Amino acid sequence: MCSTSAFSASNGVGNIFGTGLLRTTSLIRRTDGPARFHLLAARRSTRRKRALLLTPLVIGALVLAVGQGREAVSRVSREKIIAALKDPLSLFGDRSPGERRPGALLASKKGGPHERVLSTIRDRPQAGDLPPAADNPDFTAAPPLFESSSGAPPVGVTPASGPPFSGTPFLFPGPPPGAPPRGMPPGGTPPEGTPPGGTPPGGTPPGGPPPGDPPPGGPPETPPLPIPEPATWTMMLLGLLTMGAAKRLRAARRPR
Amino acid sequence: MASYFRHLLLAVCLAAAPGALAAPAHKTPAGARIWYSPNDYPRLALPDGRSEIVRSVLNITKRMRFGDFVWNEDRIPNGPLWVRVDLARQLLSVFRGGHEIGSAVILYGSDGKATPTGSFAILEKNQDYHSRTYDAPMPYMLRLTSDGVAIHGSNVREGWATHGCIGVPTQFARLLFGAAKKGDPVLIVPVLPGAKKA
Repeated sequence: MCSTSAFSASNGVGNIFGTGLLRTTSLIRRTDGPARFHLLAARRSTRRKRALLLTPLVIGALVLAVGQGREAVSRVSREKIIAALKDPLSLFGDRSPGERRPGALLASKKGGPHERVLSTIRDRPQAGDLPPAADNPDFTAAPPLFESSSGAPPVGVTPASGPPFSGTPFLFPGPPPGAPPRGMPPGGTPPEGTPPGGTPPGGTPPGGPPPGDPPPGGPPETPPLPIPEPATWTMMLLGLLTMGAAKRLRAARRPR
Repeated sequence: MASYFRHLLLAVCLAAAPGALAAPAHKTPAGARIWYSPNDYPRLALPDGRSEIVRSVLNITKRMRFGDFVWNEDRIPNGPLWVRVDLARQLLSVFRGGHEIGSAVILYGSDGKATPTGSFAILEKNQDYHSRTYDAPMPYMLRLTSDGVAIHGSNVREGWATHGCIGVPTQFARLLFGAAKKGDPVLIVPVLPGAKKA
């Protein structure tokens, strides 16, 4: 039908070639210039006619479907609408801005007493009297945690099997009279087999200090912490890395 | 031609779809008011155990924001006036003769200074009241309790609260002040813990 109508719509083209039975496709292939233009116009005209025929049918079907859909929706929702309209509370709920969020403690009045935080404290009832002192355990009677040089072992610490240490605790023992300076054995030169670090300070003989001896170099001190602390640096670097990774991931997922 | 047809079809579908879906769902009665049938008036339960019939309510189809109010007393006859304060919904409704003539979003007492609930009567009217306790203006004040709880004009903003009063927009407070008189009941519905939102 298409080729026939196209051909009949372009009789001039057929006259040019002297043949009336050529199909449209071959005409298009063989023709050029004004003839080709006429054939394309004929094809467009055919499609337009077909669309004009189909459009009312489609529109009619759509209207029918929409009407049926509206009927179905209205049948289902009519009862709900009536029930909602019957209840004024339902209408109030629809217009309400919602329930207040917790923590709304600001006041609309200016210049008044500022009671945002202190009001609860001020209104709180006084705590009752303290219980009598006899009910409280006597913490002053507890034995001391560390014993001085009186000889008794500290609480919770069993004495070592060796002879008890009788020196003054936490006191750096001074070098014996006539001893060489620190780091040097009594002989003047380090003996064979001595580790390169030298002997421990204080001229302690090999074999380590006696048990219970205070650590060499005086009482232990907490080393000064680097500022900022390593944990802070780590956290900051981890956060930066996470941000960078997230940004890269997002950029990779974004369609280009 | 084919694209033209496709576009025509799409346009028809788009034009028909909202009508098919939305029109029946929002079939609100015409006019600015929803009238109830005289044979079947709904009743609103009040905190003091009573209930009041409702003949009509304002037709407010959108959600109200802080500072919004509606006042419409056209074609509403004179009658007894009562005020319903819904703390849970943050709404105040004014009824006259069973018809709702005004509604506004309110502020109410903070957690430390809660608004009392129950049934009250308007004890005092003062158009230009200034609080001594808080050194604050309370325009169009309708006092409810002897210790100072009142309905008054206020700057109604989200996230704000009062020291126990009920704050309404000042323009609404002016209208309510003109409509209410001493002795009119004010019913404050409490916020029930775990109450289902309507």
